[in-house]
Amino acid sequence: MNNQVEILLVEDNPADAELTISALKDRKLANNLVHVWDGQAALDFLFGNGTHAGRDVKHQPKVVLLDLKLPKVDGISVLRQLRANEHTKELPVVVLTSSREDSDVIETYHLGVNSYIVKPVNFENFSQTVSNLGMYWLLLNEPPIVP
Amino acid sequence: MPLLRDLPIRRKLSLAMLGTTLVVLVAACGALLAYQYAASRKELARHLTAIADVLALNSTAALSFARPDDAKETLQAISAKPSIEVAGIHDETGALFATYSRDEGNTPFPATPEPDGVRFAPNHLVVVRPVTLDDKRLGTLYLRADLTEITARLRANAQIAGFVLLGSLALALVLSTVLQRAITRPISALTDTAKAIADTRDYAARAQKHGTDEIGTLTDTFNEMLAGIQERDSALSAENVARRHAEDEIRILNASLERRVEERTAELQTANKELEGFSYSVSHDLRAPLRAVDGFSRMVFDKYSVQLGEEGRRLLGMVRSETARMGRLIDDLLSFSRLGRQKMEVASMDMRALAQGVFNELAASEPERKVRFDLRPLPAASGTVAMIRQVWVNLLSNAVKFTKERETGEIEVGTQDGGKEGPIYYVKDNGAGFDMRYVDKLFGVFQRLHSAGEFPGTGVGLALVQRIVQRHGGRVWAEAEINRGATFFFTLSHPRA
Repeated sequence: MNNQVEILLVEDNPADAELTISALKDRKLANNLVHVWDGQAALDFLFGNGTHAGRDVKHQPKVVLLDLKLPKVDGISVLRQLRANEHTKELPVVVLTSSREDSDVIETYHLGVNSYIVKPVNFENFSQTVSNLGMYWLLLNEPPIVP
Repeated sequence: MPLLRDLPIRRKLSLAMLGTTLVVLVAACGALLAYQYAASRKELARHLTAIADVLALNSTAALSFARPDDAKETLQAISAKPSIEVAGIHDETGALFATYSRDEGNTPFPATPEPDGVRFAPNHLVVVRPVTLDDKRLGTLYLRADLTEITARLRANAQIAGFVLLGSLALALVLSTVLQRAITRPISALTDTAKAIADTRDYAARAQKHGTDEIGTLTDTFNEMLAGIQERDSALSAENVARRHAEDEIRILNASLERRVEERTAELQTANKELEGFSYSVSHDLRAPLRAVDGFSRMVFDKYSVQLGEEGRRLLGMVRSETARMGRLIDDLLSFSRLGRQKMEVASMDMRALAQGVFNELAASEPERKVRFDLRPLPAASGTVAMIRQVWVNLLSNAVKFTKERETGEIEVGTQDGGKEGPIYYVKDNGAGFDMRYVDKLFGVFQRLHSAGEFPGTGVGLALVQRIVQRHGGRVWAEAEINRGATFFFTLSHPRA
């Protein structure tokens, strides 16, 4: 299924979103990328609710790139709900945020995040990090098998 | 038997008066008695002599005519005087002529005449008188009387004296008891007052003055003393009250001061926290758009390089380099603010190894620079390693940076004795130095003494150094000459502190 979503990008900042997508595109990793703008949209998509009602929730993305500072439902709440749900408990989630706060790191790992990446300030580093992320989770990592 | 001096005054006085009276009376009576006795004896002697003379006269006839019986008869007249024991006449030959004896034959009579005269023997009076007629001695008359008369009278007198004595003593006792009051009452009054005052500590009381004698003077003096004590006492208690007031005030002041200090400290801490929180969020929130600027400008540079042309590329390059600078500024600001939130962990640090390690890194990052690093022995210190490492990084990288105009940069790191402050670490370079007139600005945040064109930098590095050193209880300062290099000194808290 070529149309299967591979990356769900949850990012409210248009500039950051464009840079991320651009970096992934450079590596040809953005072909099956879905971008949502807030936490509620992310949950709707993953659970097949609201505007994404009817989506086949058996087919989950290979990785969710999750920003923490989101409108409506913030990143940590999204993570908590994902981990509480049978279908999304093992879904690979990578927090991609500008926050370096200890509390955020602690809380997200406590909730079971797979990885925590601080967005580099420098664009070059940012590019490199994103493409590394994409390579790792899309090409290297073996996704979980949902029964 | 209580000692005389411990008797109450009352008793002493009575005893004194009685004693004096007694002694005086005894002396007087004694003298009187003695005089009377002596007078009696003299009288008796005279009396008996007279009797003897009369008898002698009456006996002349008997002696002249040798008629002893007549003489005896004459002598019988003596019986009228019972005190005469014996009487007798000796004739001119010394023989016994006639005798009289009161107690028939009991008392001895001298056989031969004794010399003329009047003699007192222990219990008798002996009178011996010549019997003469017309200057011719006919014989000797001998009289002996006992002294019972005298002694009886003496006894009677003594008895009377005794009664008089007793009566007088009784009178003296009464009088003394009454009279001693005149002295003892004022004294007792004074004593009681003194005792009462001593017990109650009521120095306002005064003793009552009785009379103007020595006791009166004593009373006056005593009262003066009391007045003095009272004054001092009230002055003292007034002082006490005043002092206690002052102490209370001080305590209140202290308490309010402490409260104010606490309030200020709390205020300061809140302000500090807010500032740090602010710095942190500001630097963080500034980064995101910066990344965008950096990224998109880069994308324009990459994708539209040809269309930009040389000038376009140069201008865009300026945008990009300023963007990079802003990023560094934000990083420095962030680490500056983060410093306040970091916990300090005190550990022993090998300062020499730390400095060497930092320099090696700096040298590795700029391999084209020629820098001579003279690292002297450094005493160990205690503090938070990460923070002190940052101090070395900032100071050494500054030294490296500001010596870039020199053929060979020379950096010397060592230590000086700081006395009570502990060792003074220093970093000395032969670089551009700075104008000492602006030394006060050196450690201010974002303060720079050189333009960015001369030497890059954000002006936060030294502020960070100062912050860290101060948190370790030390201080940092610098000396320099323009174009002759600079030396930065810092101390940390004394290891023992």
